[in-house]
Amino acid sequence: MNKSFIIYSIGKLLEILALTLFIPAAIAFAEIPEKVFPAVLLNINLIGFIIAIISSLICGNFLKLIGSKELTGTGIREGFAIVTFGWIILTIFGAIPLFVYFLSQAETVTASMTIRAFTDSYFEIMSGFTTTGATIITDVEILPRGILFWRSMTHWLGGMGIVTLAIAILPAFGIASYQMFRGEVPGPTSERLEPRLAQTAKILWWVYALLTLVEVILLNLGGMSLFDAFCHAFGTMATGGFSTKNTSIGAYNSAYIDWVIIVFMFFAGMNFIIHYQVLFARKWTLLKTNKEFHFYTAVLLIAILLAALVLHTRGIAPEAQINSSFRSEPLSANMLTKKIAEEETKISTFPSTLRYTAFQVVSITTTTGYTTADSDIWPNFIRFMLVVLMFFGGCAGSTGGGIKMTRIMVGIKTAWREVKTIIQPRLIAPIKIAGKELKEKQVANIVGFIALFLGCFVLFSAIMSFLINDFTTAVTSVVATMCNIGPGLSGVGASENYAWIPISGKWVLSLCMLLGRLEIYTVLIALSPISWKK
Amino acid sequence: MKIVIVGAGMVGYSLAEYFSGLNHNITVIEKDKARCEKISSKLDVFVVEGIGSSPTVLDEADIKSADLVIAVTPSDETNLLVCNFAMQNGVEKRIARVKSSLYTQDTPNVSLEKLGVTSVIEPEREVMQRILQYIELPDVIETANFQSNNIYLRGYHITKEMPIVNKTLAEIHQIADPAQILFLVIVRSGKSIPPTGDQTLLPGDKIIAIMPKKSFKTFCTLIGYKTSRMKKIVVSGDTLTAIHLAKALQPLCEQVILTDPDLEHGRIAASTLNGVEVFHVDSTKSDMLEEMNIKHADCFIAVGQHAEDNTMSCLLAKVEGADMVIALRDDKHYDKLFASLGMDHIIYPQEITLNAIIEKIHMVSIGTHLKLKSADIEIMRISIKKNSPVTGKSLRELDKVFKKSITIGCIIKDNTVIIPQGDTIIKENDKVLVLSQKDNISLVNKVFKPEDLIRSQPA
Repeated sequence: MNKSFIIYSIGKLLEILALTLFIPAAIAFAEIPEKVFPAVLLNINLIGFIIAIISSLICGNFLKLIGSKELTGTGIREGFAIVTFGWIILTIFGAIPLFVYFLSQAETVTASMTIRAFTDSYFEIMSGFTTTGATIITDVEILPRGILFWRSMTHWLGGMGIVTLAIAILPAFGIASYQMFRGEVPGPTSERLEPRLAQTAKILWWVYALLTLVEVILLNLGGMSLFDAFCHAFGTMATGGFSTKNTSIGAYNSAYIDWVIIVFMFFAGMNFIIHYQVLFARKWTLLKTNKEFHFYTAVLLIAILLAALVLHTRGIAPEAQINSSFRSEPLSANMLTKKIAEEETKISTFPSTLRYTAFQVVSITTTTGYTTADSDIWPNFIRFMLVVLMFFGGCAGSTGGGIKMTRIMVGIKTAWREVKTIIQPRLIAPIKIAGKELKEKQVANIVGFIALFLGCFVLFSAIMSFLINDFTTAVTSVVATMCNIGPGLSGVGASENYAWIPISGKWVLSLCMLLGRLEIYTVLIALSPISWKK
Repeated sequence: MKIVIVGAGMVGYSLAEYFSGLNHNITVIEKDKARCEKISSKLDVFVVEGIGSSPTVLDEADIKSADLVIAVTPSDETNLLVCNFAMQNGVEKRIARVKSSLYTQDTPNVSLEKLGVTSVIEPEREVMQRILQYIELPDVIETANFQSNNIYLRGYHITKEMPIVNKTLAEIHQIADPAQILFLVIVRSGKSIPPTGDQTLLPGDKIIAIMPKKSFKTFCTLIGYKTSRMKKIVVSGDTLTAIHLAKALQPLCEQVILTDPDLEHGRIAASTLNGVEVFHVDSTKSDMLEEMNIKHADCFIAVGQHAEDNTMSCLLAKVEGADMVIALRDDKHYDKLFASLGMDHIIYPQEITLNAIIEKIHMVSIGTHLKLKSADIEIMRISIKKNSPVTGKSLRELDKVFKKSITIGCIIKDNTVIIPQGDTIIKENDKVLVLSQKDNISLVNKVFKPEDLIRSQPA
């Protein structure tokens, strides 16, 4: 392992982070009513960003100084280590503005309060970069705009990958860049569109930016303010889920906005290679031949119809179920009846039911995590179905999390093949996707990933059950963070948040988010002793 | 006509034998000394020892004066190179045998024609077409189409279930217009019988008929043929042909299974084929065939590398209960034995290649030529010229000359097909399909004097 190259590369990543921090800083600056220089620089909303920019620039340059550009060897270990440690360190620096804000809000600064503020801001920014969208902020609407924008922007940066961005704009990583790209881009396939990786990374970022811009315009046309449109477009395209409203997208109560976001969540969950091929190379046939896309669409359509039918015929859950569900703070009887009445009006007609179920299903499956209705008081069948869909996630090469559609397909096919070969031992049955054979090595990688993913899920669920009193909450908080979704069930349900989770629990969940976003293998490779052996 | 044949393997030798029998000038190029000696001692041909793709060897064979070059060496690349050199030497027609399908898939920018090949013979494709014909028409023993698929020749086994069994030909002709369908020959216990009106069709006979395309439906109702789709076909073999065949069979059949004795080759097959189940099975072992549930198979086809394995596995499959078995073989030694053991069809790739080459040559210059395998009959297409002895004569007049050993199957006039009656008169520019007993080709030459059939000096 070439440590000095890793240090140098992380230094470079920090510089890029500093550059991106100028944007929310500018917004924070614009929000300040009286711009008297130099007092304005000490404005409580701006100072956090200034500290973050300066510290990451200094640290970045320092790391570059002590590190070395030279890399010998394959770069496999280094690439995965750069991605893993890069993400952990970038999150620390990205969390500084929020940390400063939390401290400024406190009446007295104590040690335990500082730890709590640091945990919260780290959790929040990790949730942002990993496009999870799980928040510890109970009232987001009182946050300054700079902070709000930075939260959503971390989604956007993390969605396509900040390392991928670095490869696109700084072609200096050399041989390690392919490993870095592989380590960060979700899904088992990281195809190249161009012979040069930097070119591929650039194309992916352009497509991503273009789709985001189109969504901003469409949302703006639907009556959303430009600021909110940007924040929500960032959240959608990155399949993140941070909103500028306490009730998420539900706050707008607009069918138009709902459908625009449904469509763009759907786009974000697709392989971005498809977007590129359709938009720029006009290869429409790809939509016909890409089996993962078919599977993804079929899963969504079936889930939406099933949920809509169940919800339409059964109505929302019986009161006993709602009352037995765990909440961080129990609802008063009055609030509950009001809430039930509110949710019942949303599903009064079938088209309206379809709109709300489509939104929740697409939001959960693509691992976005926006909500327009409190799906936690829907019938248990739908709640369970949503938890299952959390594992599915988006397609390979999308910004979504979860296990990914391709892997699920390969998993199902492999299981079926085992059944067939037990009956017919001499059958030669390679696993194929769209008629193309997968090498046994790839199949093993995918099946191993699914096993590892479920193994991590079990392990962290056990830890969370230890830390949290409610079982449903403990288990679904792990699913919701490992699959980078955000809302889970009960205590972390659609109308709840993660603020009440104990500090230890927040660190466990932060690790879950990182594992989920970097797809476990990257983190394991970086941490495994084999990588560090001399 | 001067013909240069490069490569004197089984196909090259047979070609030399066939064309020298038709009094053409033949030069054979062969690199193997023993083969050269064998061929020059047996055939009246000029033999050049050497490598056919060498320009000096080609010069030695006097390629400049040749009208036709046939390259049938075992190497595809050599064959292609021979055609290219032949083109540079101004040879008009250049035929190459190309075994690998890698070379025959043209892209818009590249084609074998530009390389100098005027006709490509693909043994694999010919073999596959023959097998597919058997699959489409399970009881058929003879199929050939002429005149760009406008004339059908079909041979069938007469079974008890057929509507025409135990009827005389005269009775059959009351149902079906004789101008529509012509019965060429009845084969009864290996002997051919001329199809006169008083002949009764018995079960076990073979009947061969020729008809224009539009009458094929009537023919199907006569023999009670149903286009029954096969449900399960097992293809066996570790060859590319097996893979291509399995792929081609897919649209014809609900379930196609490929068995491959070679695991590595099986993996390749499984990765290229979609929807075909591939098994690593040695189909010469009966327990393995049982595992394939062979008794429910409608057809078992063995196209592996080893002829003995092919035949043995087919016979085993037949015993295990497969309905129809087809094997690939390269020698005809035990032909009758296998038939008596229940083998339905044996495919001889070399014979098929030979026929394909002869057919190709005749299509370009002489006329369609076909040997029937169930009877010793050859079929030729001859264009009638102004000075031909038969021009202007009716069939009744010609019957005396033909001595019952030559039949005119049909006459093609400006792309319409006529089944001739006694008073039909042969005119200039007609094309006739002539059927003749195998030993009577000289009579055909005498009667028709088709100058393009025999351009070389009389023997």
